[in-house]
Amino acid sequence: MKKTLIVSALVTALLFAYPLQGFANPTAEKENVLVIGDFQPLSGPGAALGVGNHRGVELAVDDINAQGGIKVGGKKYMLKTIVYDHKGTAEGGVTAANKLVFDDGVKFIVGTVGSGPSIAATEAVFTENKILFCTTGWNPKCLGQDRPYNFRLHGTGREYGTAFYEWAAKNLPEVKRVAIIAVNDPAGFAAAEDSKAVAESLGMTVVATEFFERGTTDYYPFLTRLMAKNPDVIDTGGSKPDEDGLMTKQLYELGYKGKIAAAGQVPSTTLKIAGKEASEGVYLMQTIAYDSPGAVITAEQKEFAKKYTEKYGDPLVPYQAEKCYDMVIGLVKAIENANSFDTTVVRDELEKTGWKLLSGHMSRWGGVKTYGIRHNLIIPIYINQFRNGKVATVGYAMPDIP
Amino acid sequence: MTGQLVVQTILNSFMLSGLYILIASGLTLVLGVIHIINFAHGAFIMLGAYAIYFLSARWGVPYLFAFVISVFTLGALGMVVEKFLYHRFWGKVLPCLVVAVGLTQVIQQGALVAFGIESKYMDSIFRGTITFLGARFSVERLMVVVIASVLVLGLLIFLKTTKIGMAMRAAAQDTDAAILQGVSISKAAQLAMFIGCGMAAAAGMIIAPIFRADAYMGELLLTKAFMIIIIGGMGSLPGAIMGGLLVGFIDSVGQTLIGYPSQILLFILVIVVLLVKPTGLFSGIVFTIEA
Repeated sequence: MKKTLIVSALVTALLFAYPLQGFANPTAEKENVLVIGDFQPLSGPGAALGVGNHRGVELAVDDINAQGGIKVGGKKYMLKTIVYDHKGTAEGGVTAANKLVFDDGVKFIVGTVGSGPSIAATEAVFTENKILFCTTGWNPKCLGQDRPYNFRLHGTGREYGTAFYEWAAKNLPEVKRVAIIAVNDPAGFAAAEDSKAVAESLGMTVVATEFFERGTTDYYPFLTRLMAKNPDVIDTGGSKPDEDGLMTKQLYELGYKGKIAAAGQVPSTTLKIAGKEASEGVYLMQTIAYDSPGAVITAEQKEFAKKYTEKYGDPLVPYQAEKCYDMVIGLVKAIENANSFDTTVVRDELEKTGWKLLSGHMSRWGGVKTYGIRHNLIIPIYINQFRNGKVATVGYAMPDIP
Repeated sequence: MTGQLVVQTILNSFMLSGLYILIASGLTLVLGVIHIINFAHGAFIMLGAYAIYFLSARWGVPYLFAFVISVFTLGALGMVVEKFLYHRFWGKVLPCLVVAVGLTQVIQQGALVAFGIESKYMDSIFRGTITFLGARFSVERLMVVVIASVLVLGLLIFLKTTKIGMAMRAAAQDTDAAILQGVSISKAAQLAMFIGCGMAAAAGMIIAPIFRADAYMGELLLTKAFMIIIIGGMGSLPGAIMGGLLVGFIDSVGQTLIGYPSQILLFILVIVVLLVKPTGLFSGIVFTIEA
């Protein structure tokens, strides 16, 4: 009897504790706390990137709080960030979005990796509730006039692909035959389409395109098919860090001698999985080498990389983390300028607010012609290569997003 | 298809077949002896992968020693599961399904909490590559074939030649008759779970260095193992071997020829087998659902 009572009491306590947890969460703007929401792939193949991106958000929040927070309507607010795992899936995206908006009362969201979760969350929750959402999702559907509260904080396959293939056309004249492999989700389709369009516009031939299911670990069959077409370069640019690493490792095992153009968003993950030998010479389209000699890196970027490494112990800092940092800084500036938490007012302010990016450039928005709305942040792109287990910057481009 | 591509595709299928046979053999053995579909089989694959990651990659225990220790420990855990959870549901498909799915959830979520959400990667244990007729294959993939062959062959010999092995086969063929002959069904069931879960753990341990260890890694492999035992015949070890060979070959050839949509081929094959020969190609058991 006594045992039953104890168990019943524990179960009852648990049942009551769970919903109370929701009420206990600091809702945005209450108790002088502004919550910047985030939802990322914190498990699965995109986890390394999701974790890295959220660290960028955290570092921006730390810096703003260290300067005393922000002032809106005559009151001071400290920043806080909440992150949920969407596992890289559309349904996970909707669940996380519902938690952020309806449980936590978040109005501003920065950092999300993945087109699938971004699009699903936008269509199910964000647009209807006027949530200001800054994503990294590549798919064209992440932006548009029908989703006016969405902004993109970095480039897409179009910009990264253009930067790499234009650089390759000049510096790697032997690259004529391109093979593309990407995940079969909205981000992968967009990446493959972008790379194909850019490569073909430069006179290269796309000899094969393969799509794999997210969660795949054995790429031998896909890579065998690609290698049979004798490509000069295999473009894995639409993949997540874990996928990049496994593909690089398996291409090496299969004896592939051509070039690899990987996304490389989190170089330390690629290196850890594939190893130094297999990674040697791999091009990385979506990262940055903060200590590469000759690279166009500002003191602010170096300082950011130093803080990142000191706080998280990872010497290879993902580029998207820097962009998430930039976006939080810009968003907070827009909120202060607007002197309001109303997302429509803040959105209008963000469209015209200029702030200095860590790269030293003033922020600019593009994309009216390309993405249907001028909500794509224009950022510099670095072409990098693994050399002797380190990332070296070999090229640089400032994309145009009309 | 060039000659080299054909060789490469066949080599690729060897590893998949070896892996699938290893996993399906353990699953079908448990099914045959206890008449329980061990839905937690995939969780044991995952536990094996984590075990080798922590023991070998993190704590420096020699791979072979870590392998043996983990197989025995996780096999013993399988016996505990049988004794305290499955035992009372022998032959009852639905209650056991609920218990096994619940157990899988507990193990998976426990792994996320205990080991973290990020996938774990470790260095190759068997380094290098081999070249055969122009096609390349990593040594660690070759070792999957070798280790799986040794374990499955060992199981076959054990079941054919030892007294306890024959008792297990008897229990699988006719439980009542086996009891009348003095076979301890409880012991046979315990041993079946020990071997089945140990083999699942072994599968996890040989693929962790090739791919990775994560909490959900067993799910897809378990699905493949189910397909194999349906095709080969539920409870039939030769069925698991032939089914594993077939599914590994279809996976490799199909994906190389037509890409990911080839997965549909496997489902079509399963449906055809269920329609034409529900006992499987190697005459396994036909189950009736008893709630």
